[in-house]
Amino acid sequence: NIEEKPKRPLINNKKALDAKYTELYLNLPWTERLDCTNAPLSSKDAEIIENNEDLADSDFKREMLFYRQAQAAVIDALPKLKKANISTKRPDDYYAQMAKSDEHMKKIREYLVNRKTDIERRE
Amino acid sequence: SSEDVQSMKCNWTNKQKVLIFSTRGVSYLARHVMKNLRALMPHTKSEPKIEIRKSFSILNEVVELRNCNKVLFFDMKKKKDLYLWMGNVPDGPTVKFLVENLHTMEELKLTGNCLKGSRPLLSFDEKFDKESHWKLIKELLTQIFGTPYHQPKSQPFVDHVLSFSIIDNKIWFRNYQIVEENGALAEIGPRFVLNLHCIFEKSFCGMLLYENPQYIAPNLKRRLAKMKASQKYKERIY
Repeated sequence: NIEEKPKRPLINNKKALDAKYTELYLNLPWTERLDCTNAPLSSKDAEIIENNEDLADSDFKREMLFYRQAQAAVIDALPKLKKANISTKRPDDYYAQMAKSDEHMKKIREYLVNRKTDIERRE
Repeated sequence: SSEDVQSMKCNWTNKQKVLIFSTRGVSYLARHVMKNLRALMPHTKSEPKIEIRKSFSILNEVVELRNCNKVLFFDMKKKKDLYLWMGNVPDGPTVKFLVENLHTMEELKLTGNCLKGSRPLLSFDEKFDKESHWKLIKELLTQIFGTPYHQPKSQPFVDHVLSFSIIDNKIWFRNYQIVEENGALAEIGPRFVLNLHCIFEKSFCGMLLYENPQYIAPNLKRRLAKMKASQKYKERIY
């Protein structure tokens, strides 16, 4: 039998990581960075995180958690955006290309309507 | 008008430019997600697919030739395992992820939509501040995914949120539209999960700073699954 080579211990060089962080960090005003760090919105969600180990497998709970986190970020950021005079909504007469095309959005709408009628028919 | 563009250029201080490209032989899924990311991020550039023969260090030259200082590089092995390299060029660090659960904007039936090139809010999980490697990754994500203020190709609105959460020691990426000012959201897509493999000190080279102890290579994962399945018959024979 071949002797198994002793495995190299995994690297976690905290000092170098911290040094790299200070080197990389861009000290710009918040309006340039727009980053927020926050917990999900309600305290009930915090309990879910602590109690659940199978969170990665439970689709609904997990998506809810992501949604709440994004929501908390928006609620935190909106006053700051207002102060900096950055709008979250475009005016009605402002036309620009969207990330998803109108065609695609139409397909989604049709899909949703179809699904709704399907469910109603079954009942 | 041209005056507005002029003033935009003057105020544009944070000049992050991200090059998004891939190796030859990535699947259609990766190509579509790259396209989605380019649509969401106006500060990106694209580059033809590249074939890597010996080392990754040639990528540094490619990125610098295109005047970029950040890179998102997709690499596919065996036509099924997709890796994402995220780097700051030329000073580093570079982070290598395994991409899991990849879904494009087109395939997901999500109702949200946003302007092409509008700026995103970036929302991070609190766990990002607790450990040094997550903190470093958070800063890198902020600089790559955040669209600079007054970027000439960007729209002057903040109408979507990119959220990064850590569950199961992996980063989960979601993109939401801000529908109402009270915090109602609608998801836009794409979705993916990033499983951290390792962090290098420089861009595509240098010393290893971190290795994820919970990372299992996809090859090993498949082998273990096969071994477990074959065990069933062995037990039956004896």
